Amino acid sequence: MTDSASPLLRLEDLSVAFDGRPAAVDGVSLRIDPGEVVGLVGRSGSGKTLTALSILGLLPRGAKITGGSIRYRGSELVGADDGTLRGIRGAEIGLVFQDPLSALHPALPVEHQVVEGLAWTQGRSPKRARTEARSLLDRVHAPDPETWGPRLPHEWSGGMRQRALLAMAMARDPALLIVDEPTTALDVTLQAQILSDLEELRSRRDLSILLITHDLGVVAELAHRVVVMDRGRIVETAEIEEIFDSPRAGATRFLLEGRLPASGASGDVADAGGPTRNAGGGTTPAAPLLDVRELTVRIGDVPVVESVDLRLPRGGTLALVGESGCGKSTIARALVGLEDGASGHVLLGGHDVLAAPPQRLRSIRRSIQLVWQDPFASLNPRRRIGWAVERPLRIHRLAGGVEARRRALELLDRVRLPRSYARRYPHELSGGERQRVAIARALSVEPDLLILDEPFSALDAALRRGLLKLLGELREDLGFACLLVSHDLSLVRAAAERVAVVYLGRIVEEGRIGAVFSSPRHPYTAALLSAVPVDHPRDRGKRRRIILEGDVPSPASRPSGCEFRTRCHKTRPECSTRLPPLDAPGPTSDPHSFRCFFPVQGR
Amino acid sequence: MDEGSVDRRAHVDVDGFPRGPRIGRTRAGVVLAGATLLLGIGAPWIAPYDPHLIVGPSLEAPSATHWMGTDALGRDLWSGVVWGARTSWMVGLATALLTALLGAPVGIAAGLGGGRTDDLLMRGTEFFQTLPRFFLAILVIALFGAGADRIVLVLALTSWTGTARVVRSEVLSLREHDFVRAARASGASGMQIAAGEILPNVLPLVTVLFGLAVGRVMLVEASLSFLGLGDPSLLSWGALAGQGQAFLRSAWWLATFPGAAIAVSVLGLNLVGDGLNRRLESST
Repeated sequence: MTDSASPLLRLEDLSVAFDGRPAAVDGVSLRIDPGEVVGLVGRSGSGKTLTALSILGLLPRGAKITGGSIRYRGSELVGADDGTLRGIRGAEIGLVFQDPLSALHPALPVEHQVVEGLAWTQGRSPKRARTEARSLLDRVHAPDPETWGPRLPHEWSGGMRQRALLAMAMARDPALLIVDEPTTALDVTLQAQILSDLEELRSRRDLSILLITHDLGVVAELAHRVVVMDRGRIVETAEIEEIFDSPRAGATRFLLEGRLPASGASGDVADAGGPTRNAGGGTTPAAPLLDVRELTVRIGDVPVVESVDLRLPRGGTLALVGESGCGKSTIARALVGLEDGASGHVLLGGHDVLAAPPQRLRSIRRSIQLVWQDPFASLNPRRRIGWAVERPLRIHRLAGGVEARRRALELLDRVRLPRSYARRYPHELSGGERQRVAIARALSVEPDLLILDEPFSALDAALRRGLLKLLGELREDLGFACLLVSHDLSLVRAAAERVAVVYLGRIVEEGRIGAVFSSPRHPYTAALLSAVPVDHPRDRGKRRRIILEGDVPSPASRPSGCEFRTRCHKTRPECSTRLPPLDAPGPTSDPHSFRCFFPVQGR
Repeated sequence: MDEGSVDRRAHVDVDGFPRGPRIGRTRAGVVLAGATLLLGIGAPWIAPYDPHLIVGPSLEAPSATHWMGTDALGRDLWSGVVWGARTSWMVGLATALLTALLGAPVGIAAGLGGGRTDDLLMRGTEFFQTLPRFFLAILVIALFGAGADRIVLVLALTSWTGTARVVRSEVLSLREHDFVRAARASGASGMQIAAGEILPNVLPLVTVLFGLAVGRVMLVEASLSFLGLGDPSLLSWGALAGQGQAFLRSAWWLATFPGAAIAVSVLGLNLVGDGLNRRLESST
């Protein structure tokens, strides 16, 4: 990392263009020293992935390097023949792909794929290859390689697959690792695991890492230096602390401002919303808008959601948090009657959603609207935006023809999209814009309850804040209640009043955001909170991090007693004997309940 | 909006299909199939002679007066091929239309309905799939006599199943999409979902299947006519080729030109179908 050392990789004035178009990467220069972690940051479409792919000569069809040089240990890679590049790929520079599912061959055992590179280049015997694969998997902390190695990728969970990709990239012991959005698809606990794996690999093997991401939180955890790209150009290069302390470029500030604080006071957004937000902090005696009792959802014979109780007052906001696969989205879908295996009671304004006959259910659905996770999938690709926004109005025969069109345009105004967008198709819109459309569509029928299922997880971190603010304002104007399903704790902190933590389909802790986040009582909540990336690189290593090892157990084979005990860092023998009840200690008007015999003591 | 522009460009670029040569092939298909279609439409004006009349010496080789030569009776083959185009296209289009009209609704209903509806419709589909097409055609002709309308019905009854199955599997994947769930969650009925969300998404697929079906039906119709099972009152490429095969050594043109006409039309239709299919795949 000293300045005198010759750089491992040096890009100078690199330009990449798709034929006949302006440069997508325009005069990029950067260097990576041995053992250094460089963060390449920018919003999506800024050219960071193209830059990385050009290093390995893996540009997509139609894209070409139009100028500049790429030097690896002094030798030029631009224009190098295929043999040279093949010698570099894998052996010198490893690449970890963004999407762990599509980067793995679905029909080959994972361990086989991990050492494929070795088998091709060094002709390993199958037996030796297998042993090496398992030791590689072990090195990236993939649990139990003996059992899991021979299995197929779809049997692996998302976090484990990401580790398999890491093992694959490390198989030939490269000097530089290019990691493309390593944790974007993962929730906080897995993100923390992968980041600590990367840090461990780096410090043990003097590995250099080029870390590509839009999330400055990931960078704050790991990088030494940050390069910020915007519209194909480098707009800022600085040491990590400097980026956070005194960002110079507008694009950097945009990325920084989009971040939601991981700790500290809860955000501006929840404060902005909610007409029924009771200033006195007392109880609301009125019947709640949503009253869920003993909700159980079975898929086949497996209970993926187990006797969940929830209450949400009119205009209130409640967040469901937990790792992916914990059942929080299933709960949300069950609330609108989209889960066939749901039993129990879901009372919305006194009417039971689960017991409602089809006709009744359709009208209940008017008052609950959903905003879906993936704005790319939730809009019909062959229908115009205007049609999509009018759709619920027509379904419920609230308006038709000119009237529906007028209301749709007003809704576009409300979500701050130009009215001309009504005539566009979804593919002409960016992810953030589509999510605004999804919100407009949901609000068209003036619902009492808006369910947001991971509303921003498919979007750049920088866009989240804007959308969140918009939601807060809409809530203030229209007074709907919000159920937010998310694994993003900083988002939850900024947006909700109460939070319920879900583990293995059960609520393990519930209370006011402030209480739960500042003094979590359940060890799982504490672990989740500690896994959130730091706000600022100077806090790196300061926080005591509880890394949750492994994945959520399968709901088909729930552990006896406390279901969290298999991953809990403070488990005791008593924990396996019976399930702790969800209790709030002491009489209180503002319950903070949790399901643990040995709760974490308040800070 | 600031969040938009860059993202969108990246999307188009990364797809980066080399579009040139494929469009070329599709165009070639349009030209080939279009040419024979025009022949069929304009037959009364394009054909120089009445194809049923004796207008020259028998078995005359292609010449300036008879472009494709004459048959054993001295009828003009070019006129026959031109009128044959009309038959082939009529049978092809009518059958493909029936196929789409039968197959698409069944496929959508089965895919969207699921459960019992799906079982019932699919078992029905399988029943029709097991019908031997030629045997059924021969049976119908034996019972009711030959005729273009009967051939269309028989062919449509035995080919709508393919469309139904393909549409059903497309619907099965579509209905898991969030936009369909979103419609369900906002209270849309089955019919509203079928018409509003599903139909526009399967329409391009049905169009592709339609194009390919026209070509396939032309081939089957030609085979039936070749075997003498076609409509005797209509000129057909298959029938012309069938009559010509007796003279294969002495008068090569009699079987060659009708055969080439079949080949050109089917090739053209398949190229168009393929091109549309690729457009469809790259747009989703």
